[in-house]
Amino acid sequence: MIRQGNEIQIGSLTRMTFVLSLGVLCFLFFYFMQPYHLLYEEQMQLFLFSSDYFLSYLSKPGGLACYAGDFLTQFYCIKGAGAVIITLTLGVELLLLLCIFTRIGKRENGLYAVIPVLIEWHLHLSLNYRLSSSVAFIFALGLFLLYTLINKQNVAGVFSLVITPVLYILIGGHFLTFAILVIIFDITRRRLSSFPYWLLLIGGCILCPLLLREHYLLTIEQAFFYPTDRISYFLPTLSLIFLLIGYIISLQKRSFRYQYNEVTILFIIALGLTIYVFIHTDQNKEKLLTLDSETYFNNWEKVSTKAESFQMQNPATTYFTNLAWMKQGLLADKLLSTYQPFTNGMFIPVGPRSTPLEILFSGEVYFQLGDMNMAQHATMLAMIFSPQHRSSRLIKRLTEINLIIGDTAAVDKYLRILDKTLFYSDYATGIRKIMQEGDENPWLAERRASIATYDTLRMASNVEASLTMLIKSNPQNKAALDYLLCYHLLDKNISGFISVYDKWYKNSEYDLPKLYAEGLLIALAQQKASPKVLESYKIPNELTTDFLAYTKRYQEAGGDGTELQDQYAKSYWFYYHYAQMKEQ
Amino acid sequence: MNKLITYLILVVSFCSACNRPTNVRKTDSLPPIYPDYTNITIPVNIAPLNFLLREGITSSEISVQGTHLSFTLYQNEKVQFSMKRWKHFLESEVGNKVTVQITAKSNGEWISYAPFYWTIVPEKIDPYLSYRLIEPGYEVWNTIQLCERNVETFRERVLADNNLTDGTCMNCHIYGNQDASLSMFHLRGSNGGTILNRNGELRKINTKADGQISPAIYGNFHPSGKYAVFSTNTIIPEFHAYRNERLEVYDTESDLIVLDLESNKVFSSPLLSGKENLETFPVFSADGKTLYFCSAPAVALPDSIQTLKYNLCSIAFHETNGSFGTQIDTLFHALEHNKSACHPKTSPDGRYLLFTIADYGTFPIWHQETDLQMIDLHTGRLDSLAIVNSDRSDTYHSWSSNSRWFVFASKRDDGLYGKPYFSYVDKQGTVHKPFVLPQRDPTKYDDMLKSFNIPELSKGQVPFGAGDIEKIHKNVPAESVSNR
Repeated sequence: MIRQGNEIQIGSLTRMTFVLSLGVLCFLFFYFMQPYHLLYEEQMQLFLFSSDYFLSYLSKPGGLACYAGDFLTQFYCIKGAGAVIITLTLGVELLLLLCIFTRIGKRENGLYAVIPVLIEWHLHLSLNYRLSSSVAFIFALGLFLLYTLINKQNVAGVFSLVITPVLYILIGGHFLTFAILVIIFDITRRRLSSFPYWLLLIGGCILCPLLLREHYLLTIEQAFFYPTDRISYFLPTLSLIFLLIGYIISLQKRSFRYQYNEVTILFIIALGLTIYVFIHTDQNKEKLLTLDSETYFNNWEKVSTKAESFQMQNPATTYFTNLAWMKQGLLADKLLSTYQPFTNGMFIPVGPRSTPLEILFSGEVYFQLGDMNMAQHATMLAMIFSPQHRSSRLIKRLTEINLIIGDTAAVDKYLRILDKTLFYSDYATGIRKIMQEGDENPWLAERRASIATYDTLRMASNVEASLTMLIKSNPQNKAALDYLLCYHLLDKNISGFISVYDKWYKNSEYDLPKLYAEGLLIALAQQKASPKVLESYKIPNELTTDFLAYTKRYQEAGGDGTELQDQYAKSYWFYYHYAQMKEQ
Repeated sequence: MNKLITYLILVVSFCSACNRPTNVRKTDSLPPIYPDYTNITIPVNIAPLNFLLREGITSSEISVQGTHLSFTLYQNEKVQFSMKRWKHFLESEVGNKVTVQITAKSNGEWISYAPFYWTIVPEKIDPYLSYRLIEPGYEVWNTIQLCERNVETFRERVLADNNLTDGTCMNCHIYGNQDASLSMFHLRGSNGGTILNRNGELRKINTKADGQISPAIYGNFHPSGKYAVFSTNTIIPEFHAYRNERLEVYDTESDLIVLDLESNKVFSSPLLSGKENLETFPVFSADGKTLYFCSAPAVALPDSIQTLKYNLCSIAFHETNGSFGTQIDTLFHALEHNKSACHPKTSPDGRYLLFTIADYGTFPIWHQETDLQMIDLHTGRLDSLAIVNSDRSDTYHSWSSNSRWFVFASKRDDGLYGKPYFSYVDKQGTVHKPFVLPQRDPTKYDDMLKSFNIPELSKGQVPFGAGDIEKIHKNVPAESVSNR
């Protein structure tokens, strides 16, 4: 740092090093810490190269910023591209802010400009924060910088009055950023002080969204903040306003001590806001998105390994873990080796309070098991509740589902859409090839083998009906059979379990996993089965002996599970006796 | 500067010349156009029938040859007509059969396809079409809009948007006598009600009277505008399992009611509200003296869903005192045809009754076999409308006020997303091949992920907009109704 009189300045070299370090840190952060989050953002949008798609952006304010932001977001599917794009976006923001501070202060200073950028960085941790917001912020800053370069007062006045409503149409809610910065700049510079000018500018800022909101079909709140939907997304603007006011005031004070205090206070405020945003970012989401993406890409071993390493106890993690085990043929062997929130880790129930992520996750199990209608329903729901109601990943999934059920007209519909994308037209070509191959394609043949072969009606929540239908359609669908048996066991529905077991599993060629044997022992004990019946289940003698020992110790302990925990914690018997659902 | 302009003109001329057909190969097949606008009958007031040329076509020459006028366009795979030229052409060729000849370049080769024809009839279609745009999530909604499209141009206006009504569900918009000054739709949710538009004056009515199964569901206006008839239903959505069967929606109970819109009194008849039968889809005849509806004997559901087949019935209605006849007549016997009837709609001239048939049930929208059929009410002749129907769902129809056109929603393109198709009914009662609502950009249907629900034609523009619906939703309490 170089001290010049009472001012603090950061030297050019120091500043450049600081900015570059920050850039590298930002890139590394998004590259290593948020790759699945960025992939999710790309997967939940569908960017098309068509005129009709472009025109659809004009139906809401901020069309230019949204189009530019979504255009860039489509590149997130390339590894590292998302991290580069966000880093560059934040870099441009920082550059503009540095120019603005330099322009206002007539000197270089990088200390203040970095705070809004840091806040923006943290906002990008939110799944709902779109790149278009950053693009809109950049547009607002760029035009404000241009405004500060206009020396003629009348020209500046006309410029601000004309550009403000235009900006609203082009960048949406961040037009306020431009207008507020203009107001602060003009007040502190005492540049434009005519009452009609202020009336027009401020009135324009208020009236523009209010007058256009009916055209854009937005509520009052949405009209002011679109494309973002919450005030916290304007924290970079708010911090910039605080900083600018403080900075301008400090420039007018001679006392270094006074200036130092102002900056410190503002710095603390901005830092506080930053920490607030950071704390409210759910770090577990990246882990869940990791499991979700790897599941989508059929990397089953990776899913189970990652899930184990994350050590998270929630239904979604268990859901992906169970799915991965099922695909590896290990569901019954591994089921009780991890947290099982009853049946909530088998299927994710979807209701009015479900989050978009839960809805997105919920369809995967049906797709993997072969219930294509429920998979389609869940996929449609996920798309309806995705941020932009169209998603490349979900369109691909709908294509696959319709391909499997043989609805080629629907497949064609989706392929035509994917043809218009930059990154999925090759996928469309691949699907067309599979369509030509038909059942000769191993993937398609395998998928078609597991789907329903007869019709039935069931409620969306009736997973038992779904699994039973799949097993009846194809008794070789062991995944569905395991799922149904495990579902009954987790539900402590022993009669349901043994009924399914007797019908579909007992006389099959499948091995008897320990979990099922433990469940059978409970069922047979409840039925007071004869030794002959017990024998027919081919349960290992050691396990039967162990069951008797467990029962004896259970009775001796008077139902107290602590004494049994060491030896039997991973047994179904222990789960059956002691697992309880915590009230949420 | 002059040189530059000359060069530019030369370059443009050269490029244009490059796109003129040379070494043309002839074929007997029709051009691969989407939407299918080949050999159709169109009204003189329809918007330009813009279309796409598929199968890798990159350049095209479109010659449109009428009796009095003709023109040729040179375009790429997207063929769009100028509005002014189109309007002038249709007006000049009204009553004539127009020939469209397409020569197109595909894989470097120019191909001259078999010509197709447009018959331009003087009977206009009602200029406005309302519909609900919704993702076919088949039981859940997020964004819903009720829209009004001018079919003479491409202008679309939003009548209601659930973003402005707290995300509530809204049902489709229907007119009385195809008149925009009388219309209604149901707005669900806590602040909801049936929104009634009478000359632009909006009312919100809570249509559930004591003892009713539910608020009003399927409805229709009496021609006088004094009454509206509704079904009240307990609706159960369930999912199919097999291949592209998707959703089934059935009623476990349903009755019919009539609402006097002036006194807010509700009344019915024991013949229309028994437990033994499920009555639904009520609609008045053109003269208002008959009430048509669908009725099926109640069966155990969902187990016997495939035996749930609705008859098409009628009962007399007396407007003066709001009373019903004492006898129910059956126009279409479900068991005789082994089909289930839905959505009857009478033509405004009282001549025809258009309805939907499906294998079973009361929700034909996801039944692929769903077709339209038409009864000539003068002769009783049933027309299976073979030229209109497709191998996918064709349903949710509405008449134009002159009874010469009807619109319906068809999933014929992809089986998932319904689109509005128009068919012409000539004076002899012959129905002509349908065509889809034209769009300014013909790729619109390709990119669209929403269905057009319940398209309804009207003579004029509806006198309210989304802002008015937002206000009545937020600020106006619903009027209550009571039993007469």
